[in-house]
Amino acid sequence: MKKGFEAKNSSILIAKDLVKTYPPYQKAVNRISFSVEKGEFVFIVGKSGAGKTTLFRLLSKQEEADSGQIFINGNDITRIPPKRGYLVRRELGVVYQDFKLIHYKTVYENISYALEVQSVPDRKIRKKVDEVLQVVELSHKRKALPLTLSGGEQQRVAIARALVNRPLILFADEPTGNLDWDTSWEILKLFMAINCQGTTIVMATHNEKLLQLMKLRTIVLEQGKKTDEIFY
Amino acid sequence: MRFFIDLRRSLREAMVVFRRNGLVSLGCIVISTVALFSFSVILLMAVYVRFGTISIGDRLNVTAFLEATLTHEEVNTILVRIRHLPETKDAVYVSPEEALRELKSKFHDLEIDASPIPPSVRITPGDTAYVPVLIAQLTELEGVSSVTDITEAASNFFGIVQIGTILGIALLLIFFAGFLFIVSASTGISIYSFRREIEIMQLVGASRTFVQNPFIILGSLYGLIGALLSSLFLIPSYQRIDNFYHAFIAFDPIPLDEYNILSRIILLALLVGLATGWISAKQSVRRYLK
Ligand SMILES: Nc1ncnc2c1ncn2[C@@H]1O[C@H](COP(=O)(O)OP(=O)(O)OP(=O)(O)O)[C@@H](O)[C@H]1O
Ligand SMILES: [Mg+2]
Repeated sequence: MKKGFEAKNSSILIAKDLVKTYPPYQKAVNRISFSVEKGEFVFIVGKSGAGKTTLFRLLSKQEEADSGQIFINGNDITRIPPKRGYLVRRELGVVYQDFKLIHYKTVYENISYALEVQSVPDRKIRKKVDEVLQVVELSHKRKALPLTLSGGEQQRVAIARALVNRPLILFADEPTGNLDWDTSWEILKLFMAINCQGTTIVMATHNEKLLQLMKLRTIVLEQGKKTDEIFY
Repeated sequence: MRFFIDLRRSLREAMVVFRRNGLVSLGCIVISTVALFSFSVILLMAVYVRFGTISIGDRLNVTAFLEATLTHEEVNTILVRIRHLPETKDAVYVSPEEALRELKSKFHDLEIDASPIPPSVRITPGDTAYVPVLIAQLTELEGVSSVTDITEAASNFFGIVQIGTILGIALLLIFFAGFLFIVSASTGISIYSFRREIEIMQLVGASRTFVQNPFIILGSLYGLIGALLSSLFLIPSYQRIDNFYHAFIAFDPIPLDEYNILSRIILLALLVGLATGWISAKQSVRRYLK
């Protein structure tokens, strides 16, 4: 996924006319198009059921679009067979509202797992995990189990796991949905720090307060359609 | 290198699955042990019955009694004719005196003066299956007064062997159906109880093979552990069967010990267990992990 770009050279993500229908005829995503520049921090907002999660699942190839195209770094990932979708996910980081941590693995093991599935040797894993643990400031909790951590800490573990692969884009689906305002703000500051290091971030939220504070480009979804794009 | 890294990691995950579904895993091991134990025992018995058949077959002689009035030349002619029959492997003339001596050595207490036994020819058939034809041919010969008929005894023996074989195969089929069923069912249960972890694995970029491997390895392990346990139980059974065989067939023309029967069967059970576990888990994984 490194070359062969056709549109603007700096667009790292381009979605074109994406459609996803759930049986029988629920159009969860209805002809959505947008692009994201390298190093950008973009918000996606919409009411519950607007299609944010579905959109992320399409972009990370956890699900296949009915039609439309998705270019990541110039490669149309909709043309990659679903069986090889894992190769796309290795280039991306995804963070969810419910953290998606493995309960029987420690903080360290949860993060290292993203590298283990790629057959990275232990020695290299240790170095990389130590690095991201420092970024999310959880080095002292490396041996803790996820369920003994606070919500904010668990989300930081999930972010560390998403970062450990040095992803092209970090997708965050309501990462602060389960957190109180102070913790949400902490997490957001962490995302901003990561963004400043050069990682592109696309984040879904319905936290109006955050949007007002950040004043970043915002894509508005309503019933599966893109109804507005706000540039501050 | 990469292969061993992945294998170690898959084994570790397989152990987690094993522990989480402890009871189901235990059931799998018990059933695979029972299936493989019966497989080994039935195979062992089949081997011994086969050897038994060969050595009993060796002793299935047919005796043709000759008329007592025959001259030396006439006896010789008959002997040559019998030797030329295609079903005959060997034929020996037994004179009345020799027959008497044999009889006396078998039954010491018996007081026999005059010979009640006519001269005879003792024939070894080329194959036990030729016995009926051979008897028919001998009865036709001029100078032969009677022929010992052992067809019934032989067919009884082979009938028993045949029934035993059919029963053994039926039992094996039942046990292996159970083995296959429980491993694939337990793999299905494991996959279901790990659906959350599987989703996370896929989320962080695990390939399909990487996700499937722990479940397939676990299925194969059930078979392997079952085979090892069944081998432990097989050793005393082997000794019993072997003792029984040697007691039953006192003179054994086949040097059984040279065949390493036990180690061969254990090796086969290991392979069969591994393969059966692998196949059951594999097809279950294919069904439940899209
Ligand atoms: N697996 C599914 N099967 C059927 N319908 C689905 C499925 N997933 C989502 N939908 C439907 O698609 C629509 C969009 O759902 P989606 O989860 O993408 O919304 P969302 O914007 O993420 O909402 P929320 O803010 O509540 O997370 C909803 O109407 C939902 O009912
Ligand atoms: Mg959602």
